[in-house]
Amino acid sequence: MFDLRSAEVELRSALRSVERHTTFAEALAQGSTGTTVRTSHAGSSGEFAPGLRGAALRAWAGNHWVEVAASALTPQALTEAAASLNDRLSKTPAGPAPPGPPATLHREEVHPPARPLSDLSVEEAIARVQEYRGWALAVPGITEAHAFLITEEDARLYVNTAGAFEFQVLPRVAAAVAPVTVENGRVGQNWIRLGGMGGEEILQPITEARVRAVAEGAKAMLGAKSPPAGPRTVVLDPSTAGVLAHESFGHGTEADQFIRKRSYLQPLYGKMVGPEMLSIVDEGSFPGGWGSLFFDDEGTPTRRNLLVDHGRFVGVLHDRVTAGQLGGQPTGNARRSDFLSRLWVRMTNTYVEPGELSREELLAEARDGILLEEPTSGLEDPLGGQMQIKVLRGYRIERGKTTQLVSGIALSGRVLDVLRAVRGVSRVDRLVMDGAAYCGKGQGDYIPAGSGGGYVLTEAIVGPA
Amino acid sequence: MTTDRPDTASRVRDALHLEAPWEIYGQRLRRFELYFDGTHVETVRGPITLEGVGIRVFRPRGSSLGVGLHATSDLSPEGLRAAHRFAEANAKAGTFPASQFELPSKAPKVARGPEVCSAPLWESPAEAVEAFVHALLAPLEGVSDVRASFGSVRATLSETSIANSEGLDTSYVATEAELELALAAFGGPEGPPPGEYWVNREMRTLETGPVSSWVTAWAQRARDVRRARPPVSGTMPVAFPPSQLSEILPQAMALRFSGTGRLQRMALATGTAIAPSAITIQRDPTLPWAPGSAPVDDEGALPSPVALVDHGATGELAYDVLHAAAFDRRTNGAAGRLEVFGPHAWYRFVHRPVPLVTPMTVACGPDGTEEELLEGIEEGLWVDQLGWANPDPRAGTFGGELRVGYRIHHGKLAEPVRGGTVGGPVYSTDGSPSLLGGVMRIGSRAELVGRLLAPSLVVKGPVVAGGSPPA
Repeated sequence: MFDLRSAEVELRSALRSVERHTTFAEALAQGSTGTTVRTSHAGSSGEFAPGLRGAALRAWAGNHWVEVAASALTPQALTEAAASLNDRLSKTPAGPAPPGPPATLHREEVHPPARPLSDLSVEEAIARVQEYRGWALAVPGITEAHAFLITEEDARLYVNTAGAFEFQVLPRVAAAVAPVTVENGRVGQNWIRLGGMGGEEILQPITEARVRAVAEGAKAMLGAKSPPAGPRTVVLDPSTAGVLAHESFGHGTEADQFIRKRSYLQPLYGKMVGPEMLSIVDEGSFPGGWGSLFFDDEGTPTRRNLLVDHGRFVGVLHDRVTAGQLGGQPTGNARRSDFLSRLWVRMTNTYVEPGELSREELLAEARDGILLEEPTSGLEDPLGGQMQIKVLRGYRIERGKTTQLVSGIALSGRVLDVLRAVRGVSRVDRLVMDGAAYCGKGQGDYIPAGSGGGYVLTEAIVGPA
Repeated sequence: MTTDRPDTASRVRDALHLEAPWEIYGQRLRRFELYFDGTHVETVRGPITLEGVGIRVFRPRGSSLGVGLHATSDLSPEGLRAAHRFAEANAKAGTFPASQFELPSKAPKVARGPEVCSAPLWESPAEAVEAFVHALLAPLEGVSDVRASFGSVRATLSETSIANSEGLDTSYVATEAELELALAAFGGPEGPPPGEYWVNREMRTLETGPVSSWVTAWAQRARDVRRARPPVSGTMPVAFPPSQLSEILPQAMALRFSGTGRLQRMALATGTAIAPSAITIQRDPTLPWAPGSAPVDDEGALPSPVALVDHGATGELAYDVLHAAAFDRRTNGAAGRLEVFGPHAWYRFVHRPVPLVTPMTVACGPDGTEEELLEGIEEGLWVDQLGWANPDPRAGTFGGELRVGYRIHHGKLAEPVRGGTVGGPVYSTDGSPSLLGGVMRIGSRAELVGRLLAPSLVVKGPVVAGGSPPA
């Protein structure tokens, strides 16, 4: 297997060659190994991760970044990329150094899981997902079941002209089993979806009993009613609460939006934005989290960043430049999808800190409303302060108990209204980050982003989706 | 415009001695990106260069096929040999439920077809991107209440080549571009907070001619966002312009109108009535300048239109080579290596081909201009933009927050509305309410937005969940 560290000399040489036109330059080399296996009625397939590796070279051009990328780590490819970068840089004066402190660490973080899934052969991995699928298809009435397993070792090497050398390997695993039933053209579906950094332990929740229960849940969806439409009391399950955290106080606290004057949250910094029971965190160092990493793509170590502390807006997410411009410190949130994609200020694992109430107490407090389960997507409106969350299903809450199953729901509302209406957050046995979910920014640039929390009781508009 | 014939696939073919049947899909790409806010350039990227291949081998495995794909950008002899080994290993592990199949063999060396390559963009990509950004910002100069709060323009120049064991050796060049623009309305006396209007567009060219009129219209939308109020809840006539339909129909129909859906036992039966007879929806990869159009599909087959919905009833499904073979038929040229939702759409060689339903067209109807469409509607909603319709291709549903729309009142567009949700089924087979089933009126003028060419539709029945959020 190619070791990115062996490219250090060529990367440093490329950076040196642009130093006459810039005050700072950096390189991120990246490459992944792993396999993806899938199975369904369309057969079974196994694929090794594409053999893509290369490097992004980025330099400061006085008041903005200029960058190029090469899809090989050969001296010739890097020399050509550096020449293109020089050509771009030569058109602007070098100017001052970029704001914020550069990374200067020498660090290597390579921690293979105790029971790595990367040891599975493609045949073994296919056999594993076929077994999962078989459990689902054994439930009468299930007409199809998809299952996949992805194992990945995402290797990243960061070097810069300030002397940093940081290498990490991120062993990620994602898996899902999705039973489907079709009756008179109507589709009932459900899934179990898991992901995280680690190995075999991530798949432990996928048991025959759990998959059969998920399949029964898919069948039940055929009888689900349409959800109500309009303002409602809502209880969000932990996964949906995580999406609420991500969309409400995640994107709006990405400090690049502050620089663009594109966050409705900016004037609220230091103020109360919710009840005291509400705390929201982004934590790139969350053990085993789907969005975890050791350091970000500017070489800044990840950490726990408190965004909302007992109702008060106290933290924002930074890269180097936004930290320098806004008088903060980099928070370990500068991330690229890969070497072909640009760097943005991004979330890692974002969650609502669990509270004290039990789920049942929360439902009783809700009395009448709707319980939302299994999020499928979310979207923020960073300047307008609105958001939407979509879920696979819900249940009516009547007199403090869940009753009728309802089909896909879209939730909408003004973030501040929804947060200020929070009336309770539940405890959980163990805080876990949902996995196998990706966050986009701009027109794409998807990255693994974890989310989670306790159950949350609040108010919002709901309708069919 | 000058370029050598794209030869990535044929070079790899010559370097490897593959046992038939096999296929090599090659791409050589250059990408240029520019990110900006209202006051300055944030990041300039490019050239981002990438050349790679997807090697696919097909091996008999009893009554099925072992299909092995491996993609790589390491085109060294060692890298290609490793990629071939991986592809063969994948073929040993995987199975596909077909045994006899037919790879395309008829495309010319330089494939000709719909216009998909912009000469100005090809010749001067960095300059074209920069000029387009200037054209976007120019209409906002001197405007005191709207600014560009964020935007990006990204262009990709692609040289695609496909070779296979049937003797196919074809290629073409294309340009693609993506626009993202967020316009913020603000200022004035003490009043509502800023409002923002977003636009995302997938295009083949970066022509600056129409940009000024686009930006002027979008700036007005940003002002309207700022003064909009939530709609009322209920079921009412809802109008969807092409820009919104392009966010709903292609993804909602992606699975169950394709051979993939048929294999997964989810496709709708041919001839099922799902819409009024005036509705015809085609996959049409021959549309000039449409993203997704090409002289050959991603397996080298010559593409042609396919009627997915024919006069209101389900028609033919979209097929690639393998999904067609599973049903003892031939491909209809719908193979695409595109991840519908996900990263890396600008390089396709890493993906296996699947049947795609885009580019898509909705036939125009008799109901005239957008003004004429609304005549006689006492109370309704014009959906200009949902936050994210995010259709579910399995369930065939859509829904999202209303980013901005307009109340329809006494047959005309009235005040802007915002907030709440709009959604429901896109199609149904049992006569229950759906977007396509509820089409009341069809506009007479189609507009190409992204991968959809369609007129505006007025639909009876989608549920609008409005009302003021709690204080």
